[in-house]
Amino acid sequence: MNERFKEDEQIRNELRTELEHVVFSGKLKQNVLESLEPGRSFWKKEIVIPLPVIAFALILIAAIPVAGWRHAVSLQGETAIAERPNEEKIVVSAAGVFYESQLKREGDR
Amino acid sequence: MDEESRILEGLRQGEAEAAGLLMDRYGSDILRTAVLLLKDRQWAEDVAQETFLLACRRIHQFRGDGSLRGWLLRTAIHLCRGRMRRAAWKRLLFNLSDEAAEHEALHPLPAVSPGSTEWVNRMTLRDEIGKLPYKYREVIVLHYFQDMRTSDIAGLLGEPEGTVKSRLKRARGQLKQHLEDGGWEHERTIQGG
Repeated sequence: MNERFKEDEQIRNELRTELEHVVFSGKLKQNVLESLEPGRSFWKKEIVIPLPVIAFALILIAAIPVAGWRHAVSLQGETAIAERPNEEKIVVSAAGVFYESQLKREGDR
Repeated sequence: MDEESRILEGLRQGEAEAAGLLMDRYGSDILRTAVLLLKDRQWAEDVAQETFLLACRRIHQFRGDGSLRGWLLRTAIHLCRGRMRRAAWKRLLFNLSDEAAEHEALHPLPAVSPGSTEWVNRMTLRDEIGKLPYKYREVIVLHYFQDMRTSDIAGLLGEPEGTVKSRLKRARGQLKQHLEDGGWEHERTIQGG
């Protein structure tokens, strides 16, 4: 037990000696104090954007053109259907082959 | 009113002087802990500065149920863990190698046989602690450098005391093995007379 205590003390002392030269310098202190200044310019402020927020923003940016493109494709399809002209029916009789609209027009007269 | 209470009072009132006193008192201690945990001076300086920034900005969150030093230490350890996690993710995602290992590969030291006087002289306890896995390094640093008991370490890390005890035992065993392999103990005993 005494031996272990001696070893532990030896390690503690050695660590303290090795780290003596590592000091929190005046420059580091100044950096912290400058960051704490209340009237600090907005452009000098350091901001931290959490990763989930960045990921969400990227997904949103990527989703907008995709959604736009899909919407445009669906509109194009609807327009194509809407713009398709009424197909003419063909009536075949002993007198010949006529368009249905042609026969209707003749009948109206 | 003792100095710590005066610092606390000043911080609550947003006094820069109190922030300066806080850093004068605990700055080097926090920086050294971060250096031991992160093995990188630049990262350690960043963590130390961030610790004091957070402490000054969130001083209203300090309930006073422990020491100010313990609260700062907890913040620093939390930040160090974050750094290590991010570094591990970076290595995993971008297939980067360990910076320290890379540096060692680029600037290899001349080979010396383990246990020789030159090898021992080059070897530092800090480096040997740095070779331990992070979870072991954490308890070793808190126990030896911060001189904390297992119950205090458990409170600080938010883990059961039994877990900390067994982790410390394993960590101590590994460290002792590393040091004995290098003849560190023997050499220091001779030097110490």
